[in-house]
Amino acid sequence: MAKNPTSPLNKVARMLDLVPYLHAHQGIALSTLAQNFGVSESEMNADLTTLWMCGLPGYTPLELIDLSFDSGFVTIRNAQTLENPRSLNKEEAIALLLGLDLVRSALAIDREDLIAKIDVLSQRLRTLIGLQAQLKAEPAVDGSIRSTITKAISLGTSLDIRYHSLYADRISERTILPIEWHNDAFHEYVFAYCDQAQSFRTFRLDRIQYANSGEKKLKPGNVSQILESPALVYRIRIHSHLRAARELFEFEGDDKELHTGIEKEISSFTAEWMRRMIFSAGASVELLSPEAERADIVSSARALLALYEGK
Amino acid sequence: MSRKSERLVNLTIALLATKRFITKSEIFRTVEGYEGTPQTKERMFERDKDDLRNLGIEIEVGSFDPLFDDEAGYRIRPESYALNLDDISGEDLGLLSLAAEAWRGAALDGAAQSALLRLSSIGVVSDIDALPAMTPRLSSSHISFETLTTAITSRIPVTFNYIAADLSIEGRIVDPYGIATRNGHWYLVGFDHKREGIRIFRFDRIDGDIAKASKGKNYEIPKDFDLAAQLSGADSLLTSQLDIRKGKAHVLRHMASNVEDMGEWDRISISYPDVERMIKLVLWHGADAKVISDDGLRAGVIQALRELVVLHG
Repeated sequence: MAKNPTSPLNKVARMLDLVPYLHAHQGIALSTLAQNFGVSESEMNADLTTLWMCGLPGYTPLELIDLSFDSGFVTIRNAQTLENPRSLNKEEAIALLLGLDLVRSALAIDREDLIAKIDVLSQRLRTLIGLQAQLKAEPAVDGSIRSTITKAISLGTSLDIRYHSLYADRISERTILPIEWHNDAFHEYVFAYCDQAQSFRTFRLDRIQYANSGEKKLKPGNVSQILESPALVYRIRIHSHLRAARELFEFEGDDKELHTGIEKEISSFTAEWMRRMIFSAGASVELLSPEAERADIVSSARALLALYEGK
Repeated sequence: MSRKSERLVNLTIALLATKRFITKSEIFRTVEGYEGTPQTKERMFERDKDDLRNLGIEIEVGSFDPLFDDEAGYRIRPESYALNLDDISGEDLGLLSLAAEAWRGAALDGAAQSALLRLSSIGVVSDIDALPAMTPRLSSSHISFETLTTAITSRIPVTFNYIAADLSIEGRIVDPYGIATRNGHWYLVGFDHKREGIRIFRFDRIDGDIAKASKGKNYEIPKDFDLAAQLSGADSLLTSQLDIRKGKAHVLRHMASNVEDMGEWDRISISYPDVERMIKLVLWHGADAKVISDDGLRAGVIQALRELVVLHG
């Protein structure tokens, strides 16, 4: 809601919105009303008291807004002038337009009826504020899912998830033991032990529809091995493309310290992921240690080159 | 401060109820709350008008009699004051509720909720049960949407510091053409003054906040501008053929427009906007993906592999 509910302007805006709202919700409980407007009950009481003194010039009882609210329930009469809700401002209309586009992209394609409705509503909102610019929204990752997973990683507990597999285009329920976060240039992933697959899998975060701490406690042998062995520490040197490296490896601390030639330490449980990171960074990031991993980059790259040159 | 808010509500009612323009002296005489010397009242009224305009309430200024140079009169037209979205059904309202709900905890949460309060005052009951169960969410960002939404609706350029690929920071002046979210990131798409072309800016690469450009002139958005095409790079389509190992490289497989079974491998055709990004994506899949045709991509991947060998050799 408004940043400061007691500022005069916010109060005016709220009172102007209160009148039509009460018209449409006669007899609403004061507590519900306060909650819906995001203010305390005493603030709402103050608003209603002020509103009660307002009306048409003349300000006789005939012209004043007639409110009754001392019983804990609010009704309004004699406020015809303000009974239609105010128009939306630009920010409100843009919020709804972006929200509608998000809903539109989240709808199944067979709901053409709803998609058509959204298109009509959007056009009306655009006309309302005379908008030329275009707005587009795609579903983002639910922040609560990310924090649930982060918590599970730190506590070493398992999660029940619902996962939409892009490849199979199938939704499945799984129990996973999340181990660490991964990133490529495009998406966020969680690396986890999956009970159903009985092995390690990577799950794309934006495909996890639901995550909740599971009943079942997952602690299979090889998982505890992974969890008990310390994460491998990789030393890298960044040669170019600093911004890409920063976003890929999610460096913490002051970005301004990053410069070409800088060396950084990264830790990960999964050597494979590290190898993929180094490969996709091209020659902008160099793996310095461990020595064995460094040698592996060379042999993997040579093997791939042979695949290309062999043809 | 309830005196002031009371006066503003009374002024709104008076200006809204009148069919004709009413003059300042009429307002001072009839609207409750204007007190003090003529200069004080004058100042109060000027400030009140600004305040109502800031709330988005349009005050019309006109004259009583167009033939005489009369004292100016004021009124608020009910058509411009009241929300008019034509007929709204319960299902429409349900969709708008979902739209507002998507902002929970994100940048325009407040605006979305106040819009929803007004929509629920129309007297239509939201029919959310008719809609599929879903709770799509918009991601938050550090950019204040206030400047951006004003700029985008009034079509005035904005300025901000943008972090380049080498982490250097450069000031940009941009005519905003559109705002979008994609993969959890917010983007501003617009005409970059210095580069004289349309560019895409990711919010988390903006250092600090966005401000209105000081020497901003109104601009027009080209009729053929297509935000979705800009974001997907649809106007610069490159295509390649790749071999990917069966059961692997799902991200690439998902991009495929055509899949041909080759035994151990599948041959796929993909379209993409940017060869640099595509090289990274192919390299990411290591020995599970191999570029067959299109020399740009193939040469790029081979070049990167050779550099990897040299760098780590």
